[in-house]
Amino acid sequence: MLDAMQRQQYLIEQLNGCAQGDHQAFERLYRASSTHLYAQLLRIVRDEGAAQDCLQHVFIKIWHAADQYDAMRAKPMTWLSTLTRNIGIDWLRRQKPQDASTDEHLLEAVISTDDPEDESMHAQQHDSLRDCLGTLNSQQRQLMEMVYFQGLTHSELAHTLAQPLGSVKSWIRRGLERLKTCLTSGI
Amino acid sequence: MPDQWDLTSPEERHLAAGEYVLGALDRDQKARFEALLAVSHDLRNEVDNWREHLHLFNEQLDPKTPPNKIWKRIRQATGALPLPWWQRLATWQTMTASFGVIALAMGMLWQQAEKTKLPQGEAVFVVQDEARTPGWIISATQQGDLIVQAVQPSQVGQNQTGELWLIAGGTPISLGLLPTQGSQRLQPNSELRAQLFNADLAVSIEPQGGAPAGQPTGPIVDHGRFTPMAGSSITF
Repeated sequence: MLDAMQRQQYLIEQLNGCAQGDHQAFERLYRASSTHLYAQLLRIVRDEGAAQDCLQHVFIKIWHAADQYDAMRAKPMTWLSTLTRNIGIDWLRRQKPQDASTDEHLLEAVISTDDPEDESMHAQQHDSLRDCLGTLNSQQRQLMEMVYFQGLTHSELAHTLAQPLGSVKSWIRRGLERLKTCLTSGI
Repeated sequence: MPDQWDLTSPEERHLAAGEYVLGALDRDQKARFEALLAVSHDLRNEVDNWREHLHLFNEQLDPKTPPNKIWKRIRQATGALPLPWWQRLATWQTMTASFGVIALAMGMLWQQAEKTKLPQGEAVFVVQDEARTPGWIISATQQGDLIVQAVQPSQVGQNQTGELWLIAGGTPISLGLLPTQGSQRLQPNSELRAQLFNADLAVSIEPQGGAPAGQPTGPIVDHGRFTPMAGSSITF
């Protein structure tokens, strides 16, 4: 098993190989990252066929854009995931506007709480960075994931949830602040 | 709230970078933010940091293995997997014009002269196997009739046949089946005759009776183009 740093270095080497036209490096990169990127696309487009088409598009793009990867600016998986998310969200935006009824359960959850901030925290102490998601209450987390994975902007989210724009913005901001605090200080 | 959106405030910029990476900014805000991003090194750093932070949402997902066919499609699209042979013919054209092939063709014609009548054609395409042994000599008349003489079609097994293809716009079109011995005349339709001397040709091994679906299925024996005979009146 590779530890996180070794894995990161491995991916960087394969990306550098791709930038030089090394097809074997490209295959190694695919083997090491496609399961994560595919999971991400399934979460975004929520359709296997579309996720597969998008994944193909993602890797063709990686092959041609690998020379633009800068290890000083992003970890390799972050870079790959950003590229993947852009392609997934673009695909979503080309589809029909979403049916707001699918979010009814969320709508109820959000409006039943006067201030989601008052919800009890899931976790106060965190052993790993991943646990920082646990510092978000369920509404914050759901709202942020709707933005992150469904590509909804503030206005679209407010419209979908039939909530004031200002409320939606402040919920999201509090979620961001909380996540940032946890990630940078472990609180 | 755009009027409250003051990007001169560091704290506001910091949160705006988070909203930008999350994807929450509406179109106008996004445009304003990106205009600032283009000139601010610090803001680019903020965006990079937020990308790392929010990557958490991706990390929580359970990995899922995509079907194998996806990698195959990617390899093909990126050139790691060879294209089907008939799509690669363009790069091979020059090979058949080489002196070696022509010399061999003429040599074989000479050797065959005692056994068979020399082709009376204007142009010739000698089909060779990997060992450069001629399988067939195909000569074309000025009118576009093809006279095929079997030499040593060693790759044709029992219940198999050689099939000649003309590649038109990347698509193989059958010109007919090749004899395993003796000679045979093929008479393509007028549309194919018009393309005969400027198109790529290929020979594949097919089940007896020819490729069942009208497209080559078996291995390619050779590929090339017609070469004009000395003194030919055909313009290539």
